[in-house]
Amino acid sequence: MAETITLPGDLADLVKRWTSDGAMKFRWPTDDEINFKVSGDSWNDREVEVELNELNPEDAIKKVLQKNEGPAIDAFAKYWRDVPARNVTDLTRSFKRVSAALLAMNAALIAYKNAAIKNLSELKKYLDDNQKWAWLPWSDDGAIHKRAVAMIGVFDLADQANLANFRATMANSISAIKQEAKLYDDIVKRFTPDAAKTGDKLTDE
Amino acid sequence: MPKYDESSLTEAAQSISSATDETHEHYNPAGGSQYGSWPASTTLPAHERMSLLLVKDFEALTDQETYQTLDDFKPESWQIFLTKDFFTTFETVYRAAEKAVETTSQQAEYGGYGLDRMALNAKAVEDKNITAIFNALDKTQNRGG
Repeated sequence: MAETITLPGDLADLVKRWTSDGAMKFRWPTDDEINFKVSGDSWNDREVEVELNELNPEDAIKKVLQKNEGPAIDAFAKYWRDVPARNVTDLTRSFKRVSAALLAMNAALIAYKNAAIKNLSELKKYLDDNQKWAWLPWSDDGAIHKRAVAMIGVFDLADQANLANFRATMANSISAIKQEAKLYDDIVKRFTPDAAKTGDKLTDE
Repeated sequence: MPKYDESSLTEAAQSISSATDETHEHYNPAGGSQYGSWPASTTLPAHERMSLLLVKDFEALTDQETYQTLDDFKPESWQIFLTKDFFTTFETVYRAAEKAVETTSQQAEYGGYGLDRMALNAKAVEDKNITAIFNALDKTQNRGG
């Protein structure tokens, strides 16, 4: 499994230094993209799909419908098609959509972190070079600091654009999973105590 | 006159029962290990891995390594937890999905009970009862077009 993308020590020091006095708006994300990868893969895992599909043993049900006749079988067939079999199909499809939303978050986090590291590396190089002027006798500390802050502003501007892209993906993914939650709630809300009481009448006593 | 084939009814009822038992065990662990009789030392039940607050190395799960919490992502002053809102929403959706699977399992279980009952109903005296129950369940739990 891939390692979590972390901020190299020298870049972390840079961020700590320039965020402490408010010059830098950027903040390094504590988020772990691997959470989204593992979870995203699991929602589309064959094992999850198999476990769901086992609730609807299609071959055995088909045999029941072929070899039996009567109103009770007809009522069973309708119930089975409309309720558990349909829920299994819908849940299986829905889990794939949740998986896609999670994997989109994984990709967006990786892209954002990598872009931040690249831009921070460039910023550090500039600041290191800029700082070299401080050793010269005619250097002006105030001017050096001003140039550094201006460059950090340019970095922040680029970061804001990347962050906006990330947030757009997150908004889409949140919207997608909320949409799926409607299906889950719809399935659950129908299973009232009265429905359970009706279903329990089918047990042999 | 209704026609019942006991073996096909029993076979289907058993398949359903075995699947719903498995689902029930995964979702309602009882005693012993954290996941009932599920071999937690080797792997987590599939749906447990679907959480975002997870053990990354779930293949090597031990009792001490269960779940992360939002505190694991708590940022220092130079950091930010970007996906906090996503985690919060996702946790609700994940729990709702679990409940939907449990509900579907219970609904399948009723189907299995009904088939079992029909297998015993050689004289078809219970036809009306079973028909009425399935019709009622279809009406109350059918999500419509």
